[in-house]
Amino acid sequence: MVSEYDRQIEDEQAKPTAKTRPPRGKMDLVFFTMVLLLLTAGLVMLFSASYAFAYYNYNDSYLFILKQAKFAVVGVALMVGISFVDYHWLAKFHLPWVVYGASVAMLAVVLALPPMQEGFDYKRWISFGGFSFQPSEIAKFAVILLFSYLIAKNPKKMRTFRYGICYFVLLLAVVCGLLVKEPHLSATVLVFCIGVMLLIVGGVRLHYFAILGGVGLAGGLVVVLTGVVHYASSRIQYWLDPWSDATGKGYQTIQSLLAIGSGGLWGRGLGNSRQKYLWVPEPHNDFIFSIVCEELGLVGALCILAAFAVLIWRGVTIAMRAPDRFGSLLAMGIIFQVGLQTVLNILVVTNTIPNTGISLPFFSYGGTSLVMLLCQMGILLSVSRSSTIRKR
Amino acid sequence: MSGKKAPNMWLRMLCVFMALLVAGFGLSAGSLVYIMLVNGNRYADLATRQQLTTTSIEALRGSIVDCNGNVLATSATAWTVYITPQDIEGEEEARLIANGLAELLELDPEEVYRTTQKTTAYERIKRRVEEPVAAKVRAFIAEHNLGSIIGLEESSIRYYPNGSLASTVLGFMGDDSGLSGLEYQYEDELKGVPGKVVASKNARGSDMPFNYETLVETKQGNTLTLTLDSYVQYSVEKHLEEAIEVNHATNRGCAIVMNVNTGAVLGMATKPDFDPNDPFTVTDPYTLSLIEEKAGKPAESKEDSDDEEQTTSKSESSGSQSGGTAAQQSEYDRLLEEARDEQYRNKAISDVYDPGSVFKTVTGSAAIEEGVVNDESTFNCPGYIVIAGTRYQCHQTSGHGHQNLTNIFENSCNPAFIEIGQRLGVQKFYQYFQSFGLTEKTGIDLPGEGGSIYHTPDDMGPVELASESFGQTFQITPIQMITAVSAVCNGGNLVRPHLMKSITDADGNVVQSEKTEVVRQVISKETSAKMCKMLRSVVDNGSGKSAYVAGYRMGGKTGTSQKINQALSGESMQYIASFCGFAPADHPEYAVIVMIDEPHGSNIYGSAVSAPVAASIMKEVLPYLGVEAVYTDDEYAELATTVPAVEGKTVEEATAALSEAGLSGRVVGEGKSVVAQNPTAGTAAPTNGTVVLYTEQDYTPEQVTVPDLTNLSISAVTATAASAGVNVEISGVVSGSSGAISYRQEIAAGTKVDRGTLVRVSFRYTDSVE
Repeated sequence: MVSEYDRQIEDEQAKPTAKTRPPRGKMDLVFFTMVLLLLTAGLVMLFSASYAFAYYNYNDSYLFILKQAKFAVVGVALMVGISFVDYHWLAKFHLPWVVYGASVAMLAVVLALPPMQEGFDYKRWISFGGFSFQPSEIAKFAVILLFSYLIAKNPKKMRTFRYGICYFVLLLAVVCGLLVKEPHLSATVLVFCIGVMLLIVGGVRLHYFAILGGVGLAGGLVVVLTGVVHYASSRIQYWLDPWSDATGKGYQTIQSLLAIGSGGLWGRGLGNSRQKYLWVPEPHNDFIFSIVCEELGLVGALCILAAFAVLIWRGVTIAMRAPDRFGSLLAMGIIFQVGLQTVLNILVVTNTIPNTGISLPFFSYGGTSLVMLLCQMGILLSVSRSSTIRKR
Repeated sequence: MSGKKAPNMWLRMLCVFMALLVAGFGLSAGSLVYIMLVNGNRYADLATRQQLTTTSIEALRGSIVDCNGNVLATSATAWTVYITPQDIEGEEEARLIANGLAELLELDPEEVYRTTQKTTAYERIKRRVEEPVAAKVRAFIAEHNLGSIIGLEESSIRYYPNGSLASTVLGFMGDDSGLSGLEYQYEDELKGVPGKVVASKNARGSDMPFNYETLVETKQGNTLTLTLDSYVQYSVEKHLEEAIEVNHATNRGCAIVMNVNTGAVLGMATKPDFDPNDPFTVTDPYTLSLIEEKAGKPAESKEDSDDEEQTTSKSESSGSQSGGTAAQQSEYDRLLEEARDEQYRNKAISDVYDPGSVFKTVTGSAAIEEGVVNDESTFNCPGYIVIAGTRYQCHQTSGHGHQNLTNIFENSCNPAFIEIGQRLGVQKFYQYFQSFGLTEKTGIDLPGEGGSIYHTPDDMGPVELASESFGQTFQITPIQMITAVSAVCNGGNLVRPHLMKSITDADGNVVQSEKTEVVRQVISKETSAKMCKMLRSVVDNGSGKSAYVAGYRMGGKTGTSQKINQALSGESMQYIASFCGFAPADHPEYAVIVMIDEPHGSNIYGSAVSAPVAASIMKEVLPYLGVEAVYTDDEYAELATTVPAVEGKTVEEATAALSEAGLSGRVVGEGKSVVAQNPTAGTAAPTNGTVVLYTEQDYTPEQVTVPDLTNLSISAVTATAASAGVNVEISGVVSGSSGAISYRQEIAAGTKVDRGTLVRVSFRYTDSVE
């Protein structure tokens, strides 16, 4: 079994270096459809959720939706374009290292910059040529790309502790450390989980994960005890009882719960949310799903959840069918990121886990992150095109 | 399955997917179900509570109108001025607001300033601010940009356009609800249902620009239409007030006019009364004069009465000059306060009194019904009667001698009625006392009806029975008395008196309407008819003469009762003079009761004090109510009078001469003396006719149009002619039977004539035809 496994790896090793570019096959239409479906639903809900907020704060109800729609058009174009590009290009020119290095640099830079908004004690954004983006978004992709690349490159070493665990943990620790420094707990968790997931899928011996888990836990304890993320502990308090500070720290959570609860089975109807009238703070961002629940009810919310599930299932299918380990891991990393973010977002708005800033893919406002998401969907489609060729 | 990857990797990917799906999506879906289905209602309630603001809108209180729709009480929009003290910044702003509002709203600036110093969000400054002032407040707000601090809320104000008219019946309003009278009784009908504006608001508290507003309509209060008739009420109040002043009554008086068959009250007054527009002030001049009489004039420099110390010291220092001592002042204040507490009291239903001889109507009815007396019965009055050792004096000490049943009513002979009472016996007497409704409240739709005080058969011996037989030693309310008399004359039915004619909602739908409620039949029709005849004789020939109204066949009984309890407690003997009557006696329609408490004139008897009041009221009211006058020959002769010569006299002399002749004068011009008159001296004119007096040489006679005076009854002809400004001479009526109808007029309808011109109208009887 092991030898067979290794042999296959060696086979694949030759693939990216092959001169002949494989012709592009058909992309996974179900996946593509689900992306467009979720994107459309996301845009509709963004408009609904944001127009009151935009009206009161910017006197322009269309402010957010128009910006987001433009990014969506660009994003879809890029997605389709990228799907025609062979994803193996990503493994060339040491691109994984370049992206990783750049993202670490940006994470360092963002720490050096003054906070973007007065009064906020965290530094997450970089403004660049009129666009602003979070380096953590880049970091997530950088970790996916680099890990996929490294795991696919050295499949045998993966089974060693030194390479399979230590090397990757080190790479992960650099990024996570910088994210904690921002502080950006949710991104830290996401990056960590994505990394660990890729290691698992990549063939790390499972019993090592006991050790890894222990390290992670110990690290987490240290972090909490040293108070580096002092704000996290208070978050836990308001997670357990948001009503203990209903007008302060628990406010956002409470307003979210009231919105969700108001939805009932069938919801108030599209556009009829009341909580979006400034009750839920920034209803177009992380808490957009509470407005979705209020307007579309449990039925609508579960439909959207189901759509995400279908998308992830197709994503995982693409990963399974990928012609090689690199494609498989890349697809897996990307779709896992989407799935995990979706789940964590919903768990946050429902106050099932402590409140931390995680946006909902396709729904939350944010132009650059939407474009990035759609580009990553393009990579998945590219992988699917390659696998369909293989099948024939 | 891809052959390129190990099954191991494939499996691991599947596991990751399954873990994500089951753990992640499962947990998410579970959380959503828990929040939306299990706790959904709770959260939705909380959300609704924070999102909705409810603003209450006061409902406009329903009007009270008389039977003809004349408004007696109505509400109009007014404003409540309030401030938000917590938003006031700085001393300067507080002073500006305090002084500004105090000036506009006529308040004490210091007091308003104190309110501005509070840290609350809402402080009411003044209620019931009417629109002109409210507009000024709005201008003040706009001028100083105080919109966030001073606000106006819509509320309402109650108006009683006729001032004190029917005030004790209507009652008055407290802050939000009726405190007495009909305002209190019909509170639920009148108040309406306040409306609400439920508006969604955003987290900043302003209304959403999108329409989520729900309006719960205010339901305006229902309109209460009374059986009361303003015309009757005016008449009742005018004559009652006059009588109280003339007879110097010191404990108020009351009068009621009621339909004997339905129990509908057409007029009910207590005098002196109050102005419901300003219920907490004693405004009645007569009340004030009585207080002055008792306590002396109040100190000239009258400060606020609650500022007692200051007032006292002032009066002390200037006591001799202002004429009031400190003791007098406090006595005055005490009496004023007492009067204020008393002035709302509706004497007609709340105060009990010894009905005196008026009650003989009940004793008599019972006796006839029970057959203990009949038309042949005779009574001998030696001037007194002794019952169980107690000697009762007749008011005619020499005695009335032999009398028949009618005579004893005419004479109001106490010994005779004592005898009748003894014949009835305690049980029978009490039985009728009860069935005439004298042991229970009448149930009139007014609050505060008094309960009667009486002997039950257990503690009623022959002596008590004797006293009760002529209306002493028990006490009932005037409304009970008139209800009992109505039963005596209307054929024997005790009806429930009432004031409500109908209740209509804002759309005009009738919610409730009056219905005649016969409590029970008390006596037979025959007994009632006999009583009517005898009581008419009382007015025609007996003690009730002053209640006589020509043409209207009044029946009734006077009463003068002694306030024995008061006398026993050492005070001087006081009297209650009353009269209760009805008309027309051959077919009774309306009853009237007049009760004057503690008169101090030269004559304190009901026959002299109250009966004339009843006559004055009925004389005005019966023609208005369409009761046909039937004149006897004698009466008819008195209807016409000869116009005296007044040319050359001064206006005063002329007016006096005319009124002596039963005519009234209408002065035209500015001159001092009369240069011409119309009709001329010597012509026959109807009593109550008008003679036009011209006082300037170059007068132009006022032209009026002769109305159509044919096919009308005598009373209608006189009324029509009077309103058109012409006088009529009635011809062709020869006897007292009813039904004379005019069939010809000397001057054709439509002709222009000088005001006051005499028009001869011929009548004929249509009885035989019908």
